Amino acid sequence: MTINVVIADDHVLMRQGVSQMLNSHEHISVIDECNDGVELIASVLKHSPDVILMDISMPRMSGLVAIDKILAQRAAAKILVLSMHNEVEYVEAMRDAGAKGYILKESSGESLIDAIKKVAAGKICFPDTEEKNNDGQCQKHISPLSVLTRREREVFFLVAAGNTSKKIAELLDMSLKTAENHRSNIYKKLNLSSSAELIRMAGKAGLLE
Amino acid sequence: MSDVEQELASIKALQASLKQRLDDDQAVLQQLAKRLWAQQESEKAKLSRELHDGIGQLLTGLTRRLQALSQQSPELATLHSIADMALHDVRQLSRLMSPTILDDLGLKPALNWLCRNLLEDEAITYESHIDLPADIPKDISILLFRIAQETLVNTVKHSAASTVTLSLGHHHNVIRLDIIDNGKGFDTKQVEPGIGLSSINDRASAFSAQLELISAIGKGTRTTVTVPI
Ligand SMILES: Nc1ncnc2c1ncn2[C@@H]1O[C@H](COP(=O)(O)OP(=O)(O)O)[C@@H](O)[C@H]1O
Ligand SMILES: [Mg+2]
Repeated sequence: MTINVVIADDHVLMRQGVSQMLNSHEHISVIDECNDGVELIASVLKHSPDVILMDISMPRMSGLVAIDKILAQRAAAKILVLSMHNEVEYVEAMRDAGAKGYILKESSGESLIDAIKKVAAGKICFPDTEEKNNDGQCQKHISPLSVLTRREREVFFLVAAGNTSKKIAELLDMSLKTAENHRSNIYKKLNLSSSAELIRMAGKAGLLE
Repeated sequence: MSDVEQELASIKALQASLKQRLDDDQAVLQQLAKRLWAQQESEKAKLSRELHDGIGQLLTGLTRRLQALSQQSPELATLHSIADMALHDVRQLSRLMSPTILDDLGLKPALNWLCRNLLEDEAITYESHIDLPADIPKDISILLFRIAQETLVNTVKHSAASTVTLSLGHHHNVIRLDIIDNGKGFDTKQVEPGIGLSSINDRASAFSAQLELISAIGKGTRTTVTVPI
Protein backbone atom coordinates (compact mmCIF):
# COMPACT_ATOMS: atom_id res chain seq x y z
CA MET A 1 0.00 0.00 0.00
CA THR A 2 1.98 2.91 -1.37
CA ILE A 3 1.27 6.59 -0.80
CA ASN A 4 1.49 8.43 -4.12
CA VAL A 5 2.80 11.97 -3.77
CA VAL A 6 3.02 14.93 -6.13
CA ILE A 7 5.47 17.59 -5.05
CA ALA A 8 5.58 21.26 -6.10
CA ASP A 9 8.44 23.62 -5.29
CA ASP A 10 10.28 26.04 -7.57
CA HIS A 11 13.51 25.40 -5.70
CA VAL A 12 14.85 22.52 -7.80
CA LEU A 13 17.53 21.26 -5.43
CA MET A 14 15.17 21.31 -2.51
CA ARG A 15 12.50 19.50 -4.51
CA GLN A 16 14.82 16.82 -5.80
CA GLY A 17 16.35 16.29 -2.37
CA VAL A 18 12.94 15.82 -0.80
CA SER A 19 11.80 13.53 -3.63
CA GLN A 20 14.84 11.35 -3.31
CA MET A 21 14.45 11.09 0.43
CA LEU A 22 10.77 10.20 0.11
CA ASN A 23 11.34 7.68 -2.68
CA SER A 24 13.81 5.81 -0.53
CA HIS A 25 10.95 5.10 1.85
CA GLU A 26 9.26 1.84 0.91
CA HIS A 27 5.67 3.04 1.26
CA ILE A 28 6.02 6.42 -0.42
CA SER A 29 6.39 7.16 -4.09
CA VAL A 30 6.82 10.57 -5.67
CA ILE A 31 4.95 10.30 -8.96
CA ASP A 32 5.43 13.82 -10.29
CA GLU A 33 7.43 17.00 -9.61
CA CYS A 34 6.15 20.48 -10.46
CA ASN A 35 7.79 23.84 -10.69
CA ASP A 36 4.83 26.11 -9.95
CA GLY A 37 1.13 26.28 -9.15
CA VAL A 38 -0.01 26.00 -12.76
CA GLU A 39 1.92 22.78 -13.35
CA LEU A 40 0.70 21.46 -10.04
CA ILE A 41 -2.97 21.83 -10.89
CA ALA A 42 -2.49 19.99 -14.20
CA SER A 43 -0.57 17.24 -12.45
CA VAL A 44 -3.15 16.80 -9.70
CA LEU A 45 -5.95 16.47 -12.25
CA LYS A 46 -3.95 13.96 -14.22
CA HIS A 47 -2.57 11.79 -11.42
CA SER A 48 -5.01 12.21 -8.49
CA PRO A 49 -2.22 11.72 -5.94
CA ASP A 50 -2.90 10.58 -2.37
CA VAL A 51 -0.97 13.51 -0.96
CA ILE A 52 0.00 16.86 -2.50
CA LEU A 53 3.19 18.24 -1.00
CA MET A 54 3.60 21.89 -1.92
CA ASP A 55 5.48 25.10 -1.24
CA ILE A 56 3.71 28.46 -0.88
CA SER A 57 5.99 30.96 -2.63
CA MET A 58 6.09 29.87 -6.25
CA PRO A 59 6.23 31.71 -9.58
CA ARG A 60 3.27 31.99 -12.01
CA MET A 61 0.71 31.03 -9.41
CA SER A 62 1.15 31.28 -5.66
CA GLY A 63 0.44 28.32 -3.42
CA LEU A 64 -2.58 29.98 -1.88
CA VAL A 65 -4.29 30.42 -5.24
CA ALA A 66 -3.28 26.91 -6.31
CA ILE A 67 -4.85 25.37 -3.18
CA ASP A 68 -8.08 27.17 -3.96
CA LYS A 69 -8.17 25.92 -7.53
CA ILE A 70 -7.23 22.37 -6.60
CA LEU A 71 -9.92 22.13 -3.95
CA ALA A 72 -12.49 23.62 -6.32
CA GLN A 73 -11.94 20.64 -8.62
CA ARG A 74 -10.89 17.95 -6.16
CA ALA A 75 -12.62 18.79 -2.91
CA ALA A 76 -11.13 15.78 -1.11
CA ALA A 77 -7.52 16.51 -2.08
CA LYS A 78 -5.07 16.05 0.79
CA ILE A 79 -2.66 18.94 0.75
CA LEU A 80 0.41 19.13 2.96
CA VAL A 81 2.18 22.48 2.81
CA LEU A 82 5.97 22.39 2.97
CA SER A 83 7.21 25.86 3.83
CA MET A 84 10.13 27.82 5.21
CA HIS A 85 7.80 30.19 7.06
CA ASN A 86 7.16 29.44 10.70
CA GLU A 87 4.87 32.40 11.36
CA VAL A 88 1.34 31.90 12.66
CA GLU A 89 -0.11 33.98 9.83
CA TYR A 90 1.16 31.45 7.29
CA VAL A 91 -0.04 28.43 9.19
CA GLU A 92 -3.47 29.97 9.77
CA ALA A 93 -3.84 31.09 6.16
CA MET A 94 -3.05 27.58 4.89
CA ARG A 95 -5.39 25.97 7.39
CA ASP A 96 -8.15 28.41 6.37
CA ALA A 97 -7.47 27.69 2.70
CA GLY A 98 -8.16 24.01 3.32
CA ALA A 99 -4.72 22.38 3.59
CA LYS A 100 -4.61 19.27 5.78
CA GLY A 101 -1.16 19.89 7.16
CA TYR A 102 1.80 22.22 7.41
CA ILE A 103 5.42 21.35 7.91
CA LEU A 104 8.61 23.39 7.93
CA LYS A 105 11.35 22.80 5.39
CA GLU A 106 13.88 22.64 8.19
CA SER A 107 12.09 19.65 9.75
CA SER A 108 13.80 16.28 9.81
CA GLY A 109 13.11 13.66 7.15
CA GLU A 110 11.31 11.48 9.68
CA SER A 111 8.90 14.20 10.67
CA LEU A 112 8.14 14.88 7.02
CA ILE A 113 7.41 11.21 6.42
CA ASP A 114 5.27 11.08 9.56
CA ALA A 115 3.33 14.10 8.38
CA ILE A 116 2.75 12.56 4.94
CA LYS A 117 1.48 9.33 6.52
CA LYS A 118 -0.82 11.22 8.84
CA VAL A 119 -2.29 13.34 6.07
CA ALA A 120 -2.65 10.31 3.80
CA ALA A 121 -4.58 8.58 6.60
CA GLY A 122 -7.02 11.48 6.69
CA LYS A 123 -5.63 13.15 9.80
CA ILE A 124 -4.54 16.74 10.04
CA CYS A 125 -1.05 17.81 11.01
CA PHE A 126 -0.32 21.39 11.94
CA PRO A 127 2.50 22.63 14.16
CA ASP A 128 1.78 24.50 17.36
CA THR A 129 1.32 28.02 16.21
CA GLU A 130 4.20 28.96 18.42
CA GLU A 131 6.93 30.90 16.69
CA LYS A 132 9.68 29.53 18.78
CA ASN A 133 9.24 25.98 17.61
CA ASN A 134 12.39 25.02 15.78
CA ASP A 135 11.26 21.61 14.66
CA GLY A 136 7.95 22.89 13.41
CA GLN A 137 6.45 19.54 14.24
CA CYS A 138 3.86 19.00 16.89
CA GLN A 139 6.44 19.19 19.73
CA LYS A 140 6.71 21.38 22.79
CA HIS A 141 9.74 23.24 24.05
CA ILE A 142 10.80 22.83 27.62
CA SER A 143 12.56 26.14 28.09
CA PRO A 144 10.45 28.33 30.39
CA LEU A 145 11.53 31.32 28.34
CA SER A 146 9.82 30.10 25.18
CA VAL A 147 6.62 31.87 26.19
CA LEU A 148 8.45 35.21 26.20
CA THR A 149 9.01 37.39 23.17
CA ARG A 150 12.55 38.10 22.10
CA ARG A 151 12.57 41.51 23.78
CA GLU A 152 11.05 40.09 26.94
CA ARG A 153 13.83 37.56 27.11
CA GLU A 154 16.39 40.34 27.00
CA VAL A 155 14.60 42.09 29.83
CA PHE A 156 14.32 38.79 31.70
CA PHE A 157 18.09 38.31 31.70
CA LEU A 158 18.66 41.89 32.82
CA VAL A 159 16.19 41.52 35.69
CA ALA A 160 17.78 38.22 36.63
CA ALA A 161 21.13 40.01 36.75
CA GLY A 162 19.65 42.38 39.32
CA ASN A 163 19.05 45.49 37.19
CA THR A 164 16.38 48.06 38.03
CA SER A 165 13.77 49.05 35.44
CA LYS A 166 15.53 52.38 35.07
CA LYS A 167 18.84 50.71 34.32
CA ILE A 168 17.17 48.29 31.90
CA ALA A 169 15.49 51.18 30.07
CA GLU A 170 18.91 52.78 29.72
CA LEU A 171 20.64 49.62 28.55
CA LEU A 172 17.99 48.73 25.98
CA ASP A 173 17.38 52.29 24.87
CA MET A 174 13.69 52.39 25.73
CA SER A 175 11.50 54.55 27.94
CA LEU A 176 11.11 53.68 31.61
CA LYS A 177 7.42 53.03 31.02
CA THR A 178 8.19 50.54 28.27
CA ALA A 179 10.69 48.72 30.46
CA GLU A 180 8.11 48.51 33.25
CA ASN A 181 5.50 47.23 30.80
CA HIS A 182 7.87 44.47 29.72
CA ARG A 183 8.59 43.59 33.29
CA SER A 184 4.97 43.25 34.25
CA ASN A 185 4.23 41.21 31.11
CA ILE A 186 7.06 38.84 32.00
CA TYR A 187 5.75 38.44 35.54
CA LYS A 188 2.30 37.75 34.18
CA LYS A 189 3.45 35.20 31.61
CA LEU A 190 5.70 33.35 34.02
CA ASN A 191 3.30 33.68 36.92
CA LEU A 192 5.73 35.58 39.14
CA SER A 193 5.16 38.46 41.49
CA SER A 194 8.59 39.96 42.15
CA SER A 195 12.13 40.21 40.87
CA ALA A 196 13.24 38.02 43.78
CA GLU A 197 10.93 35.28 42.50
CA LEU A 198 12.21 35.79 39.00
CA ILE A 199 15.82 35.39 40.10
CA ARG A 200 14.95 32.29 42.10
CA MET A 201 13.15 30.81 39.11
CA ALA A 202 16.03 31.65 36.77
CA GLY A 203 18.44 29.99 39.18
CA LYS A 204 16.35 26.82 39.36
CA ALA A 205 16.07 26.65 35.59
CA GLY A 206 19.84 27.00 35.28
CA LEU A 207 19.57 30.33 33.49
CA LEU A 208 21.91 32.32 35.72
CA GLU A 209 25.53 32.70 34.76
CA MET B 1 -16.35 86.85 -34.57
CA SER B 2 -14.82 90.14 -33.44
CA ASP B 3 -11.08 90.60 -33.07
CA VAL B 4 -11.40 90.56 -29.30
CA GLU B 5 -13.39 87.37 -29.35
CA GLN B 6 -10.89 85.79 -31.67
CA GLU B 7 -8.00 86.80 -29.44
CA LEU B 8 -9.79 85.46 -26.36
CA ALA B 9 -10.42 82.17 -28.09
CA SER B 10 -6.79 81.77 -29.08
CA ILE B 11 -5.63 82.61 -25.54
CA LYS B 12 -8.01 79.95 -24.21
CA ALA B 13 -6.66 77.41 -26.68
CA LEU B 14 -3.10 78.26 -25.65
CA GLN B 15 -4.01 77.92 -21.98
CA ALA B 16 -5.60 74.57 -22.62
CA SER B 17 -2.58 73.27 -24.45
CA LEU B 18 -0.23 74.51 -21.71
CA LYS B 19 -2.40 72.87 -19.07
CA GLN B 20 -2.32 69.67 -21.10
CA ARG B 21 1.47 69.78 -21.28
CA LEU B 22 1.72 70.41 -17.56
CA ASP B 23 -0.59 67.46 -16.87
CA ASP B 24 1.44 65.28 -19.20
CA ASP B 25 4.70 66.29 -17.50
CA GLN B 26 3.15 65.60 -14.13
CA ALA B 27 2.01 62.17 -15.26
CA VAL B 28 5.50 61.41 -16.56
CA LEU B 29 7.04 62.45 -13.25
CA GLN B 30 4.55 60.38 -11.32
CA GLN B 31 5.35 57.34 -13.46
CA LEU B 32 9.04 57.95 -12.86
CA ALA B 33 8.49 58.21 -9.12
CA LYS B 34 6.53 54.94 -9.14
CA ARG B 35 9.32 53.26 -11.05
CA LEU B 36 11.93 54.45 -8.58
CA TRP B 37 9.96 53.04 -5.67
CA ALA B 38 9.56 49.75 -7.48
CA GLN B 39 13.32 49.67 -8.08
CA GLN B 40 13.98 50.30 -4.41
CA GLU B 41 11.70 47.40 -3.52
CA SER B 42 13.57 45.03 -5.79
CA GLU B 43 16.95 46.11 -4.37
CA LYS B 44 15.63 45.44 -0.90
CA ALA B 45 14.35 42.05 -1.98
CA LYS B 46 17.81 41.09 -3.20
CA LEU B 47 19.49 42.17 0.02
CA SER B 48 16.85 40.43 2.05
CA ARG B 49 17.46 37.13 0.27
CA GLU B 50 21.20 37.44 0.82
CA LEU B 51 20.67 38.03 4.51
CA HIS B 52 18.30 35.12 4.80
CA ASP B 53 20.31 32.63 2.77
CA GLY B 54 23.70 33.74 4.06
CA ILE B 55 23.89 34.74 7.72
CA GLY B 56 20.46 33.24 8.30
CA GLN B 57 21.54 29.74 7.28
CA LEU B 58 24.73 29.93 9.35
CA LEU B 59 22.80 31.01 12.40
CA THR B 60 20.22 28.27 11.87
CA GLY B 61 23.01 25.71 11.96
CA LEU B 62 24.58 27.26 15.03
CA THR B 63 21.28 27.47 16.89
CA ARG B 64 20.39 23.85 16.19
CA ARG B 65 23.74 22.62 17.44
CA LEU B 66 23.54 24.70 20.57
CA GLN B 67 20.03 23.50 21.17
CA ALA B 68 21.24 19.92 21.09
CA LEU B 69 23.87 20.83 23.68
CA SER B 70 21.71 23.05 25.82
CA GLN B 71 20.68 20.32 28.27
CA GLN B 72 24.31 19.86 29.28
CA SER B 73 24.90 23.09 31.15
CA PRO B 74 23.21 26.38 32.00
CA GLU B 75 25.92 28.20 30.12
CA LEU B 76 25.19 26.31 26.92
CA ALA B 77 21.48 26.94 27.44
CA THR B 78 22.22 30.66 27.63
CA LEU B 79 24.37 30.50 24.50
CA HIS B 80 21.54 28.74 22.70
CA SER B 81 19.17 31.42 23.84
CA ILE B 82 21.47 34.16 22.52
CA ALA B 83 22.04 32.42 19.17
CA ASP B 84 18.29 31.97 18.88
CA MET B 85 17.75 35.69 19.44
CA ALA B 86 20.32 36.53 16.77
CA LEU B 87 18.58 34.16 14.34
CA HIS B 88 15.23 35.68 15.16
CA ASP B 89 16.63 39.18 14.55
CA VAL B 90 18.19 38.31 11.20
CA ARG B 91 14.99 36.65 10.02
CA GLN B 92 12.89 39.55 11.15
CA LEU B 93 15.22 42.06 9.50
CA SER B 94 15.18 40.11 6.27
CA ARG B 95 11.41 39.75 6.28
CA LEU B 96 10.75 43.37 7.13
CA MET B 97 13.11 44.39 4.37
CA SER B 98 11.15 42.40 1.83
CA PRO B 99 7.79 41.21 3.08
CA THR B 100 7.24 38.05 1.02
CA ILE B 101 4.10 37.52 3.08
CA LEU B 102 2.49 40.24 0.93
CA ASP B 103 2.99 38.15 -2.24
CA ASP B 104 2.24 34.89 -0.52
CA LEU B 105 -0.85 35.71 1.50
CA GLY B 106 -1.97 39.25 0.69
CA LEU B 107 -2.27 42.55 2.53
CA LYS B 108 -4.45 41.53 5.47
CA PRO B 109 -2.22 38.77 6.89
CA ALA B 110 0.78 40.93 6.00
CA LEU B 111 -0.48 43.84 8.10
CA ASN B 112 -1.32 41.55 11.00
CA TRP B 113 2.13 40.06 10.77
CA LEU B 114 3.68 43.53 10.73
CA CYS B 115 1.81 44.61 13.86
CA ARG B 116 2.72 41.44 15.66
CA ASN B 117 6.39 41.67 14.74
CA LEU B 118 6.85 45.32 15.53
CA LEU B 119 4.57 45.73 18.53
CA GLU B 120 4.45 42.46 20.43
CA ASP B 121 8.09 42.68 21.41
CA GLU B 122 7.61 46.20 22.66
CA ALA B 123 4.88 45.63 25.22
CA ILE B 124 2.43 47.60 23.08
CA THR B 125 -0.99 46.01 22.79
CA TYR B 126 -2.72 46.44 19.47
CA GLU B 127 -5.94 45.89 17.65
CA SER B 128 -6.43 45.60 13.94
CA HIS B 129 -9.63 45.85 11.96
CA ILE B 130 -9.06 45.12 8.32
CA ASP B 131 -11.72 45.05 5.66
CA LEU B 132 -10.20 44.84 2.21
CA PRO B 133 -11.78 45.17 -1.21
CA ALA B 134 -11.50 42.05 -3.33
CA ASP B 135 -8.67 42.99 -5.62
CA ILE B 136 -6.01 45.50 -4.70
CA PRO B 137 -3.23 46.25 -7.20
CA LYS B 138 0.09 44.98 -5.96
CA ASP B 139 1.76 48.41 -5.90
CA ILE B 140 -1.03 49.79 -3.71
CA SER B 141 -0.58 46.87 -1.30
CA ILE B 142 3.11 47.64 -1.06
CA LEU B 143 2.41 51.33 -0.58
CA LEU B 144 0.01 50.70 2.30
CA PHE B 145 2.31 48.13 3.87
CA ARG B 146 5.31 50.47 3.77
CA ILE B 147 3.35 53.40 5.19
CA ALA B 148 2.09 51.19 8.01
CA GLN B 149 5.61 49.95 8.63
CA GLU B 150 7.18 53.41 8.82
CA THR B 151 4.36 54.65 11.03
CA LEU B 152 4.55 51.73 13.43
CA VAL B 153 8.33 52.01 13.65
CA ASN B 154 7.85 55.63 14.67
CA THR B 155 5.28 54.58 17.25
CA VAL B 156 7.75 52.13 18.73
CA LYS B 157 10.67 54.54 18.60
CA HIS B 158 9.11 57.80 19.65
CA SER B 159 5.66 57.47 21.20
CA ALA B 160 6.01 55.39 24.40
CA ALA B 161 2.43 54.34 23.62
CA SER B 162 0.74 51.40 25.34
CA THR B 163 -1.86 50.74 22.64
CA VAL B 164 -2.14 51.05 18.88
CA THR B 165 -5.15 50.61 16.62
CA LEU B 166 -4.83 49.90 12.94
CA SER B 167 -7.94 50.03 10.80
CA LEU B 168 -8.33 49.60 7.11
CA GLY B 169 -11.58 50.00 5.22
CA HIS B 170 -12.84 50.92 1.78
CA HIS B 171 -15.63 52.94 0.26
CA HIS B 172 -16.29 53.71 -3.42
CA ASN B 173 -12.88 52.66 -4.76
CA VAL B 174 -11.01 54.50 -2.04
CA ILE B 175 -9.04 52.64 0.61
CA ARG B 176 -8.51 54.28 3.97
CA LEU B 177 -5.90 53.24 6.50
CA ASP B 178 -5.77 54.70 10.03
CA ILE B 179 -3.07 54.07 12.57
CA ILE B 180 -3.66 55.57 15.98
CA ASP B 181 -1.40 55.45 19.04
CA ASN B 182 -2.09 56.69 22.55
CA GLY B 183 1.48 57.85 23.12
CA LYS B 184 2.99 61.17 24.00
CA GLY B 185 2.39 62.81 20.61
CA PHE B 186 4.39 65.69 19.14
CA ASP B 187 3.97 69.18 17.79
CA THR B 188 3.72 68.70 14.02
CA LYS B 189 4.58 72.39 13.46
CA GLN B 190 7.77 72.26 15.51
CA VAL B 191 9.17 68.84 14.64
CA GLU B 192 10.99 68.61 11.32
CA PRO B 193 10.02 65.54 9.30
CA GLY B 194 12.93 63.11 9.13
CA ILE B 195 13.70 60.55 6.46
CA GLY B 196 10.82 58.34 7.57
CA LEU B 197 8.01 60.85 7.30
CA SER B 198 9.43 62.45 4.14
CA SER B 199 9.70 59.13 2.40
CA ILE B 200 6.13 58.08 3.11
CA ASN B 201 4.95 61.51 1.97
CA ASP B 202 6.83 61.17 -1.33
CA ARG B 203 5.63 57.68 -1.75
CA ALA B 204 2.02 58.63 -1.15
CA SER B 205 2.13 61.38 -3.74
CA ALA B 206 3.52 59.00 -6.36
CA PHE B 207 0.23 57.11 -6.02
CA SER B 208 -2.06 60.12 -5.63
CA ALA B 209 -2.69 59.10 -2.04
CA GLN B 210 -3.51 61.58 0.72
CA LEU B 211 -1.44 61.28 3.85
CA GLU B 212 -2.48 63.11 6.98
CA LEU B 213 -0.69 63.11 10.31
CA ILE B 214 -2.48 64.54 13.30
CA SER B 215 -0.65 64.80 16.59
CA ALA B 216 -0.37 67.00 19.66
CA ILE B 217 1.75 66.73 22.77
CA GLY B 218 0.00 64.47 25.24
CA LYS B 219 -2.69 63.51 22.74
CA GLY B 220 -1.20 60.62 20.81
CA THR B 221 -0.72 60.41 17.06
CA ARG B 222 -3.02 59.50 14.20
CA THR B 223 -1.87 58.78 10.67
CA THR B 224 -4.48 58.52 7.94
CA VAL B 225 -3.94 57.50 4.33
CA THR B 226 -6.57 57.49 1.65
CA VAL B 227 -5.73 56.05 -1.71
CA PRO B 228 -7.83 55.63 -4.86
CA ILE B 229 -7.73 52.21 -6.50
N1 LIG C 1 3.99 58.25 16.73
C1 LIG C 1 4.83 59.26 17.10
N2 LIG C 1 4.84 59.69 18.39
C2 LIG C 1 5.66 60.70 18.79
N3 LIG C 1 6.50 61.35 17.94
C3 LIG C 1 6.54 60.98 16.64
C4 LIG C 1 5.71 59.92 16.16
N4 LIG C 1 5.94 59.77 14.83
C5 LIG C 1 6.88 60.69 14.51
N5 LIG C 1 7.25 61.43 15.59
C6 LIG C 1 8.20 62.57 15.60
O1 LIG C 1 8.47 62.92 14.25
C7 LIG C 1 9.87 62.90 14.02
C8 LIG C 1 10.18 62.55 12.60
O2 LIG C 1 9.92 61.18 12.31
P1 LIG C 1 10.64 60.48 11.09
O3 LIG C 1 10.51 61.34 9.90
O4 LIG C 1 10.13 59.10 10.96
O5 LIG C 1 12.19 60.47 11.50
P2 LIG C 1 12.92 59.58 12.64
O6 LIG C 1 11.96 58.50 13.05
O7 LIG C 1 14.12 59.04 11.96
O8 LIG C 1 13.24 60.52 13.75
C9 LIG C 1 10.42 61.94 15.03
O9 LIG C 1 11.76 62.18 15.35
C10 LIG C 1 9.50 62.20 16.23
O10 LIG C 1 9.96 63.31 16.96
MG1 LIG D 1 10.93 57.24 11.68
